[in-house]
Amino acid sequence: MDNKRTVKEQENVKEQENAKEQDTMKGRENAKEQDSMKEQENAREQDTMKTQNMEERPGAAEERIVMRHVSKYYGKKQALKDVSLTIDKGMFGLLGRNGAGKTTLMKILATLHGKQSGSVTVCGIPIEEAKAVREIIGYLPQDFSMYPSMTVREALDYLGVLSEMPKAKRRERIDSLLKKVHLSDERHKKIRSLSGGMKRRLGIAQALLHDPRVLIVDEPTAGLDPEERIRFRNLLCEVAEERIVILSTHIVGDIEAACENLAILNEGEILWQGTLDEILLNAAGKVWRAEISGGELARVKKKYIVTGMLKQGNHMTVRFLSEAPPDIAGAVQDEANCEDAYLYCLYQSGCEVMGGEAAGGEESCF
Amino acid sequence: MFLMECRKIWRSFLFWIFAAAVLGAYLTQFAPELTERMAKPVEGNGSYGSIVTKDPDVIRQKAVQNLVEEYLKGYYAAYPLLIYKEVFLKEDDSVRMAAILEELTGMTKEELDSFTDYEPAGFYMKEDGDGRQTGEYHEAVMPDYTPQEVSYERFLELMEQADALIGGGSSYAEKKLALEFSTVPMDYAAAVEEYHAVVNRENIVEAYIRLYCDYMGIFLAILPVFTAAAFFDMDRRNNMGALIYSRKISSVKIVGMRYGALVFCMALPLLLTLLYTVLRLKGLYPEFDIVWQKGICLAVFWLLPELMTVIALGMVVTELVSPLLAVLVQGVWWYLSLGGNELKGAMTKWSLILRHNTLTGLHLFREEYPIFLWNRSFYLIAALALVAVEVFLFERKRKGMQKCVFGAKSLK
Repeated sequence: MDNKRTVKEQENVKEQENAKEQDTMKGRENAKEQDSMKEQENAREQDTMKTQNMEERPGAAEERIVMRHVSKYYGKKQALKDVSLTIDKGMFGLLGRNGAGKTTLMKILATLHGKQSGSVTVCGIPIEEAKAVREIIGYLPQDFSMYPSMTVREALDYLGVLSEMPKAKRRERIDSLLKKVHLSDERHKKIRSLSGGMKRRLGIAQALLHDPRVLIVDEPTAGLDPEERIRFRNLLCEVAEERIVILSTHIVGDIEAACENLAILNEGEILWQGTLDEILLNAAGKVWRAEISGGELARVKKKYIVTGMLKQGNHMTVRFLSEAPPDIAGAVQDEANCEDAYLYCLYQSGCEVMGGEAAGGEESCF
Repeated sequence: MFLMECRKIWRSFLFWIFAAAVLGAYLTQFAPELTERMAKPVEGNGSYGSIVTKDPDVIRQKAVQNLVEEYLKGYYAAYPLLIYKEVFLKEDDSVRMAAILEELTGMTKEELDSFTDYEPAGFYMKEDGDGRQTGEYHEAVMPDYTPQEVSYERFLELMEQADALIGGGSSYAEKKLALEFSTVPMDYAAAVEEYHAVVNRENIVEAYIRLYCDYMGIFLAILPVFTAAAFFDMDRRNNMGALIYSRKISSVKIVGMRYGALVFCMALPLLLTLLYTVLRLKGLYPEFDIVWQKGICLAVFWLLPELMTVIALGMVVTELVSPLLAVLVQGVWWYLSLGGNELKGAMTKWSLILRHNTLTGLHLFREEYPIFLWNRSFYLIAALALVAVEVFLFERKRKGMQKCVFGAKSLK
């Protein structure tokens, strides 16, 4: 009996061993937790350093526009709500409805409007340093004209003087830009005799006159015929190779054709920012196509957001958005295009989507 | 940029209308003075003009006579807001007016009211023995009275009371008394002295320039505002604001260049007419090697501050409200400046239009010279201050902080 431990002793030993084991396990768990927390902290630190390094890297700040928590009021109406955007070199599209705040945002970047709060830097220059910013931006507003009695050349020359360009440089830039925008033959024509498309091209020429690092273009293709629109977009794409080009538009086709990166603005808020591929991916699997009769159309419109319709004899082919497979016979999934993706993004953000209807209610699938 | 702005101005039809108006004013108002030499006074040739004496005795005598005459006529002339008005006094006021006259003339109300032979001065038609009608000038038929021994201070007090009874705007207000009642006919000796004071090598050009500035000053107080308002409204009218405001150039430069170009262009027709005047005078007075430099400097200092102020005010009001209001504001100011002024001897510190409607009057101008200097210096500084205001407004507009007052749209 002396050599053997009593049951109690054995129980005590077991308890102690269990307790030790539990302690060890706890210790190991704590250590694991601590390691994990340390890892997360390190990761965060590295991210921050990365961002800082990116912004501090020589030339990095000089190649982007950074907006942080920008708000703008017109009286009591808030036109921009806490907008944060980062825009790098290349073509950047700003898409939104009429009245979304696109022009307000453009004008803030063009130093034509102030902001109530937030910060904006254009290629590293705070927006408050208006003169320095104006030196590096070119602006093509939505509504503009020029002195009608001036010729094309005179108007550009005048604006070149206002950009404080030396005479020789002005002459050289005007000649090359007129060639680029296909207005060389119209150089001696008066502004009042130019067509709408020619005026727009002249507008781009004046915006590029002083070789700005940033080009701000506000709804440039509105009112242009298809050929002019394509020509204009191609021109913008060319110039975007060497600078930041911000294209603000409510025409989705312009974004799809010309922009790699985009942001969607609605009622002063940024709903989405990313690449074109990402927004298309976001809407993948949500776009459907079906052939329906004319009588079914009203039901479909009430239940789904219709993004396209094509009448073919007695039948109609409709494209629509649906989270789940729709209860329409013969409906098949279709590849999302930019318009689909835009409307889906609006819906996702809780916006009322007009036009395609599906205003909500029990029957609606949204 | 200065030349470009000038070209913009020369393309404006309103500028050419301005230039034509200036030339038209010059040719119709002043050029006739250059058709022949200034006439030397001839003894016994009737009137030699009048002279402003500012003599208290002359003022008192003429003012009282005029007040008696108006009492007898039953109404008083007044110019509230520069528009002629006949004022008929109520019974109480008439009694008070009679009391004023009694203190000045010794005549009681009853004596004045009982004088029924009053006849105003003027031409009266008379039939001679052959039945022909001829006109004859008669002085006013007035009662005899002995002016009372009243101090000049008391006289001024009584005149103020009379003006108050009439309701203001009459000739009895203190600042108008000297101008209305102190001119006396010039005699031959004084007329010859005045003539020789100006018709000489040193002063002949200045004499004509003073008259030139008298005429042109009237037009320069209103005509430039039309072109100025239209010019400074061009950006808004042509929807070009955004293209310009987003440019690198400073607001000081844009405003300065535009303003400078407008002043320069609008001064050109004046310079042309001045040049012509000097050349004509060289031809009219070949015996003198005339000193023209002082005359040109006088014209520049007389007219340029006025031109600058009118343009600057037009620019600011256009920026702040609209071009239409700029024209209206200037129109009102022009009217008030013109109406309040006598033709000579009445320069004030604040009047936009300075008058000197005579070729002679050198001594009068020399007396008023300190006021003239003060006035033109004030308007020169005022013009530059308005330009500074415009720079401020333009900069605010550029940043979207300045809208036009009363809802007129600037940059949306």
